[in-house]
Amino acid sequence: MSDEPWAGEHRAREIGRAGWSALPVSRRTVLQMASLSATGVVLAGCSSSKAVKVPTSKVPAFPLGAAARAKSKPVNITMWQSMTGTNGTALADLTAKFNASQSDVHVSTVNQASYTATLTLYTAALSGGTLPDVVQMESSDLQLMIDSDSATPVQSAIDAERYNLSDYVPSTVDYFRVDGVLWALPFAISGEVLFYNKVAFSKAGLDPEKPPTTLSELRAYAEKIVSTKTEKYGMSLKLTPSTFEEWMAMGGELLVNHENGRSGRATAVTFDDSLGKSLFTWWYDMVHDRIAQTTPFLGYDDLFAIQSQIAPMTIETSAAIGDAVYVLESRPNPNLELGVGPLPGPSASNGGVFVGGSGLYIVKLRSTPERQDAAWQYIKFLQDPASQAYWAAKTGYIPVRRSAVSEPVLIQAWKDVPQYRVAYEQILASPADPATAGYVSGASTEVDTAIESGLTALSSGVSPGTALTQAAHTANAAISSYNSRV
Amino acid sequence: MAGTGSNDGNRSGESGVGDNTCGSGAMSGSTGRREVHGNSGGNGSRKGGVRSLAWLNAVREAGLGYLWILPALVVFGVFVFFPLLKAVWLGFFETPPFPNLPAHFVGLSQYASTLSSAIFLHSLWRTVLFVIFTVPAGIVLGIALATLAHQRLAGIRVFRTIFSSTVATSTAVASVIFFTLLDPQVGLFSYWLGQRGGTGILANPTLALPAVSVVTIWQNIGFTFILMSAALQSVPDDLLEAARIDGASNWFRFRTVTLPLLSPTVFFASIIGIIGSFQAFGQIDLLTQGGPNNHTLVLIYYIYQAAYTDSNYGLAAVLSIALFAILLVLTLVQFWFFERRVFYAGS
Repeated sequence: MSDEPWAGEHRAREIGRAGWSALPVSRRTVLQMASLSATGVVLAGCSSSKAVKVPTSKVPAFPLGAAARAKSKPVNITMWQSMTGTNGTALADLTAKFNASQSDVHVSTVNQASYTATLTLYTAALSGGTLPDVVQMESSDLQLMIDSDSATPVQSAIDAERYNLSDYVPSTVDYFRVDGVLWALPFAISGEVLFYNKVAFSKAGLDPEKPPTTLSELRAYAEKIVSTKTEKYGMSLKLTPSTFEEWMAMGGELLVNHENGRSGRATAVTFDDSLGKSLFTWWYDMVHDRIAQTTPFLGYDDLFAIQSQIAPMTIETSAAIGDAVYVLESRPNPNLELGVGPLPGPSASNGGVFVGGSGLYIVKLRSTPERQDAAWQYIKFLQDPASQAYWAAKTGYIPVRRSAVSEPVLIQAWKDVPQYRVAYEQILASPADPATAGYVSGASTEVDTAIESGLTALSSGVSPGTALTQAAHTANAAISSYNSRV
Repeated sequence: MAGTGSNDGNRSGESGVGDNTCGSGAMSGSTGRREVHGNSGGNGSRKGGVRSLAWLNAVREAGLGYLWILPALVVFGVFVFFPLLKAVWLGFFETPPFPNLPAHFVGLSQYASTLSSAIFLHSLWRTVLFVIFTVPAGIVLGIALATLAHQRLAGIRVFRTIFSSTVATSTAVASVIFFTLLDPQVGLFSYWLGQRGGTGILANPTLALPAVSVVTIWQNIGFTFILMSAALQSVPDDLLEAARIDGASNWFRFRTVTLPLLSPTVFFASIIGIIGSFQAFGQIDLLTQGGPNNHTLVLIYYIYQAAYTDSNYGLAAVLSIALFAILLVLTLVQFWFFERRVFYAGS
């Protein structure tokens, strides 16, 4: 256990529950909420006229430059973050660099251990406790953050400063945009990729440099591994909802209505369609034909299975690459060589994938113009190409700036661990549309759990149609419950 | 009543007091028992005392008593009773996911819909199963180990230390160890069973709850062992000796002498065990998080999910009140029902 970073409890939980389970959240609903709260005055004035359509009216004015004009400097602000281990150190380095680079703002970071803990503490603090000025919140909590009416959309600052987003990897920012308003800037972004053992591929007579790219190829490869008795199973299927959700996105399908919740509050799921059914059927067949084993949502069992040569392929978050490489290098094994390929999708003409990770929010509740502006200056610093290159090099997360990849530090890091590059290129290639932006719903945790439960039920012999219908039913109930409460 | 009377008889006989008058006349069982506890004072004089004086004394004593418990009452009031009432009140509201938004008053309807929902009943059933799996087995094992360790053998202390060691292991540590042991890819258990790979026990809907129960029993065994060992030490040797002289076999002596004398401890262990099992959280959170497919979604974990995953505090309040009511009723039932069947040895 101790020499197995993969087994690290909090690590497993963070990745399993928070890191990647989070799916894109649509922001549609946010419109009404945002206008209600943030621009209540404007709305009241307009309520008798037609719907306000101008985006600028939806975002409040931003106190740009307030930190520099503050009477007492530096303006001290706090950031709540959820980065542990190496990632935490890298963030501390960047923060120290920011504090040293100027004299207007001083940032203290507070580690809250996990995305889940951050959300819990943040929620509790809304009713009167001490709130941070910048909060790093798991990506799937987007709708919750909007509904909480506690954050200033970064769109305000972007509009005020005419901040240019053209260098950003589009799908990383698209994720945080709801109804044209960008609520957070992306940070600690990862994507799902295929992990495989190149040595096992060679033994089974497969080309280790040509990982499967479609689900039918994935099945063919897995069958080959089993039929040649290379390993017991062809692959592990981790019981995580995000893989299914990515496949839906790749197939160009929405997971929830109202354009994945991005043009209005999602009221029902849409994943129980023909593509959803065929994906569930594919999964069912893989399990019942004994070509794949399922592994739990919690932990890194699927990676253990590669290491212990039980199943040489799995789909995992790119955030796990660092640990995987570390383990392999610390105990070299001639039977193991880690390959990373793009996520195989439902068809050859795959659409794009959406991102997992977190967003950085500017907190407005019980804040001051100085502190909000200070928060923006800090967030902006973390998004600089140089910061992003350093961050990606140290952590293995995907840089959200395209120009970051030409920074020497990242060039070197990707030369050392070429596997990191795969997830970046996959996300960079994603076209911009509602499907690949990912879905937003305040009930995203429950929706995810419903999908996970559906996939779990397949192992017990429940038919794909029944499992999918049940998952949709449970998810819809959760969405209704959430919507009625906000 | 009959049982109580005979117990009293046993007790007085054992303590050598021959003038027991309790259990006779029109006294209720409980009164009779209380007087037995105060036996040494001689209960005949109070009957003949001046009524008003006794009454005054009683008021004075009661007042003094309340004065002594006042500090505790204040603390309980602020930290227990007030939050409890607040939770009941919160259950009348459909709460927003964030506490800075307004809640909607829905009255009793949230109680009604939640307590009749399929998921609540499912969760309740899983909780009951969990209690059934953990409590009796834990007590039986605790008694068995304590009996084994009660022998006068060289080096028995080593075994006593081993048997009680789980009490020094935190739930988190134990859970992580078992999580690793049970892992289907790299865990020792699957290796021993020759069943490497696959979904694993903790992700198997049928086996997950029994597996969590076994871990729980293992964790609790140290505490039960210590309780039962202490109780065994207090079983008077002369009673066992007498039984042996009368020709009673080992098993017969255990069943008719030791076990009845252990019954207060068993009673205590069962209350603590049931309440503990109803409130078991750490191992569920670390091993299964309520899964697979809610098969280990015990009530306490459902509450946790409602509050901290779904940010539905109204729902969580309703569930908490339900759990509180269940535990309250269970505790009362245990006191009323079991206490009458428990044998308390005289001092």
